[in-house]
Amino acid sequence: MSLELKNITKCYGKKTVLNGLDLTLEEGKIYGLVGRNGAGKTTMLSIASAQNPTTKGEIMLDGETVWENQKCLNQICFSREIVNSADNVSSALKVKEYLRMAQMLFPYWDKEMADRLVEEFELDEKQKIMKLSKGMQSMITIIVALASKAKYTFLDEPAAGLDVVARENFYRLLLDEYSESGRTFVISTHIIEEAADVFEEVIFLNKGTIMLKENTEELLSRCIHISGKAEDVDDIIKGKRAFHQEKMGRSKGITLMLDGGEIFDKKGRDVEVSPLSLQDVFVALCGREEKL
Amino acid sequence: MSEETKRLLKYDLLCALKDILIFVLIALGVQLWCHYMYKRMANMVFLADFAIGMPLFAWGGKDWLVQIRLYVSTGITRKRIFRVLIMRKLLVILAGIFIEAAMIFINYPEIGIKFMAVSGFFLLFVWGFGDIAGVLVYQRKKLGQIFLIIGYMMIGMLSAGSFFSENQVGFWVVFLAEITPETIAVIGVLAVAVFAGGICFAKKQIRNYMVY
Repeated sequence: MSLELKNITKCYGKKTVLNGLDLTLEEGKIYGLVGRNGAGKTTMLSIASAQNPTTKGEIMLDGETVWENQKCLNQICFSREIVNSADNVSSALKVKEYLRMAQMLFPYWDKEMADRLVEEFELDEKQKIMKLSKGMQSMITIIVALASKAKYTFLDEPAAGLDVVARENFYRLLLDEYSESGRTFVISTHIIEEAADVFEEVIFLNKGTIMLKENTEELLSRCIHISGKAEDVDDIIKGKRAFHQEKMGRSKGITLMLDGGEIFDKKGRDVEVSPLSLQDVFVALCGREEKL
Repeated sequence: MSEETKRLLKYDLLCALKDILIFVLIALGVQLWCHYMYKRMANMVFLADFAIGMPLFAWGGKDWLVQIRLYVSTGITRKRIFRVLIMRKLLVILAGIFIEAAMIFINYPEIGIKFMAVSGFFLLFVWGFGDIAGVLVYQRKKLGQIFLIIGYMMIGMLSAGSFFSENQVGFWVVFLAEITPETIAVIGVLAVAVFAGGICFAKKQIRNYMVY
């Protein structure tokens, strides 16, 4: 079972937000969706869940088109970030009204789980959503996502506004649910470092296209940082994919992406090689690529 | 009826009943106000038109900004949503017309048919006009806001006629007694045209509804 986004293009007026994007989401994985502001993360998730139509391309679930297909839509939940604004209707509802709506409309809603999470997050169900803090609003989107029990569940910035304890709680709940149900989760986030351990695969979205989709561990194993004298570094990286160059006097630092299975050879030069965190890799890749 | 449609209709009707209840309470408040201040009863049929017409019109905007958004967000097809919205409005109109018919034929048997026809056309017009205004508001067009104001004023003015009625016979009742069948036919054609236009416009637009 897989959810496929085929050649997706989305334009808002003259602005192209997604540009011929291709992506396959396999069942039973936690994906981290990472991209800079305006990269098209929310648009991609809203299109994958058929909340927005595409300009071009289509979404397929098990070979069936998702658009206007109730059977497929029942398997997908996109729990959007709640934004306090006059336009946002969700924020005008009380917590219990919002959850009752979700209970009545999501076909596989787990009320017991929703009640348990409300208690765990210590949410006041009688409060209007717009009167809650940003973190508490995020908790509601998390409850809806987890209790929906949809096979493909997308969360947009679920950790936004959550304190450290609540974030840890969220990751624990997510992993518990994942190991119990084997559902697929796609989580867009800017808090990369913390969530890196949770992601089985990462998707880097840049300027409306998929820049990279790879197993997190494999990606980290083939990305390294090299620093040393500029001439030594330059000699070593010849013909390799190098990113994000930093210069300090005669010293130089650079990020290298090795090919799968490739073992890095220092060529006897006096350079320092260090591993990178997922955040470093993202920063390096979203900077300027330099073919040297 | 499929399980999904039943579920959605149930939730939708619960929301709709809440809205109707608000306007029924307003109508009752007006009735009490008329009774205690002026020792007269407002025209019950017009108040019923107000209690049904107001939410029917208001749903034009609310559906497009609130309900459809919530339903699309929970993964319901646009086709099903559209069908349920039609079912809800139809159910409410039928219930309203049934109540009105009872009141009209008790209080105004001599103008019963005319009254029913005009009242029915009014509700159809309100439905269609509300949908047009709702779609335009959703599309963030200024014309939508203007249509909303016009709609609310029209329903308010029509209902206001009932406040000045004496023993249930007010301006509108006299007007209806005088109105010719040809005029009613013209009103009917206009109302049906606006209704059909509204429905077609909404059906076309909902296909590309986007959750912002």
